[in-house]
Amino acid sequence: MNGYTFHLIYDFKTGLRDKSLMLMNYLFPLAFLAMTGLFMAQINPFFRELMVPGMVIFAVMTSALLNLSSTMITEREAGIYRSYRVNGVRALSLVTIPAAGHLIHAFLVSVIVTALSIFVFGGTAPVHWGWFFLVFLLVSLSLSTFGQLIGIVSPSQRAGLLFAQGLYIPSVVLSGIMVPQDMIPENLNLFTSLLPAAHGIRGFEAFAMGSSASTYAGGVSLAVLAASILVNLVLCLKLFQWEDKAEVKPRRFLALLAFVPFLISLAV
Amino acid sequence: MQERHSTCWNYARRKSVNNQYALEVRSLVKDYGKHRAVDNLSFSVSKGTIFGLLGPNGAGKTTALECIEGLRDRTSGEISVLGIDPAAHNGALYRTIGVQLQTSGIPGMMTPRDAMHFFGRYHGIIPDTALLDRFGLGGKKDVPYASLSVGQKRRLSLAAASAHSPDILFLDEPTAGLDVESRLELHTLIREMRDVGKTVVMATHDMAEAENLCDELAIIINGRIAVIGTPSQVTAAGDKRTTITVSTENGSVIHGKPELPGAAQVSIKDGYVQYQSHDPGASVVKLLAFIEEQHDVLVDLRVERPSLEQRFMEITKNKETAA
Repeated sequence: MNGYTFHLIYDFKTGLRDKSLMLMNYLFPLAFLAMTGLFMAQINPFFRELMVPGMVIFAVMTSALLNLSSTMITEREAGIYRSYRVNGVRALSLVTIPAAGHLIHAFLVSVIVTALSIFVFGGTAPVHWGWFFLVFLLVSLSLSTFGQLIGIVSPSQRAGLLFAQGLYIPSVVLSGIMVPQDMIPENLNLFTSLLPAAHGIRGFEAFAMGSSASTYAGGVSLAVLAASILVNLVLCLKLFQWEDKAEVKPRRFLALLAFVPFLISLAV
Repeated sequence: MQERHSTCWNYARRKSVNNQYALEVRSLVKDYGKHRAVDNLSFSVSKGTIFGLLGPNGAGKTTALECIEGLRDRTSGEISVLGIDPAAHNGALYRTIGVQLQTSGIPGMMTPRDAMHFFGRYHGIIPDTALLDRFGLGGKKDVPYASLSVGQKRRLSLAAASAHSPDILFLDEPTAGLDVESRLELHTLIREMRDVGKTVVMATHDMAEAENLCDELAIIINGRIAVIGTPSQVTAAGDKRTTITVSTENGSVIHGKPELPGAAQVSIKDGYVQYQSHDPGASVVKLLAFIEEQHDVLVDLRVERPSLEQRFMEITKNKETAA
């Protein structure tokens, strides 16, 4: 087993051992599912159709935006990255391993969320499981690379929390994971299209859930998610900092380029 | 990846560099904006020796070390670590050196066993966790890093830094915050590394540690080398007065005030009289004769050459006066 593989396994195990990571990776999304499954379906009957994709995206997004970013900031601030560096760990490992580790946790929690939604809360099951997995993969990686980018460019935990919440809260409210996207006011469309979660919902609806949603719009959303993964990875590597007191200040505003694929989607 | 097995103290050399020096630094300059942290630093470290960088806080020791370790870009100058330029060949450098940073950065959930595997495998070896026994961490192999004491954390970072059998080890304040026993244990480990042919470069502001441990040392003040040499050479180059401390049963030396050749009385405290002498041999002979003349009895006599700490204080004071 080489260093990369050992690191990946260690990263995955930490997600289970660490209580705060465990909470955000599994317990909080499952508690939220229980709450919404019990009450939202009573208030809004359409929620049953949205429950599986919506709750999967919620679980993935919570761990990606709130866990990944803060873990990266903590490790950088504690000098852990410096220790890694002098032991030959490369920036590429520190960017790709948390994303891969997150993907495994996201997959596990998504399996639980999907099963509970369908069998306990009466959520609509996906029709095309292959497409469901593909959309899950794209939206998970897009969100995890967003979380990492936030962790990399945030100068402090406070800033990181602010940036992460800046993407997380609008995603919960406006991306269509709680209420259908066609019920969201049209004048918010521009803003909604900047949210990876919204494109995830469009992808799930168009290809996995057997709804009448436009496959063209869904296809564009999947392309946007795929493009955002690539753009985010390049930005993560470009802006990666080994330590807080870096002599050359990173050009943090470049992180806004992560929204370019989403802006382009508005013109398509 | 081809994996190597590391045995506990089998520090066989992996490469041979036809140079007597493990480290060569020439005219190293490091600026932080307008502040010059390291100013034209030059020194060489012979293979198989312990070299100490001494200096007060903010002298530039850590900055110099970090330039050598490839963690900071230098402003100018040349550095060769076993023939490798740290600025140009980061990857190759980290396979050759071991680094213990001033603040150990290991994740809180990581156990010593995990840490050895984590770092070892990135170096391409399957680490021998028996090394943890050697570093006194045998009973703590599966305890999370966050639960270890300061001394255990220091020993773990030293074990991790040496797990891949590096040819040269860089230690930044290796014993900071340790109790006396842990410090002595670490000193023993560092000496053992030197004895098996490793080169150790350490930054410290503990003078006693440097004097006991280092084969050669440099005192850095304001980013420049103020003095360099063996501890004896560095000490001998300064104030040559030897301290003589004496106590007698009847206090004859306190009341009688003997005239000692080349010596001056500097203090009287708790029945002890202290002199500083340029000619300690003659001073001691005269002092003993005086005590006998006074029909007094010698209780305690100590003759101490200037310590490295005194020499350090002298250099620091001179530099401050010059500034």
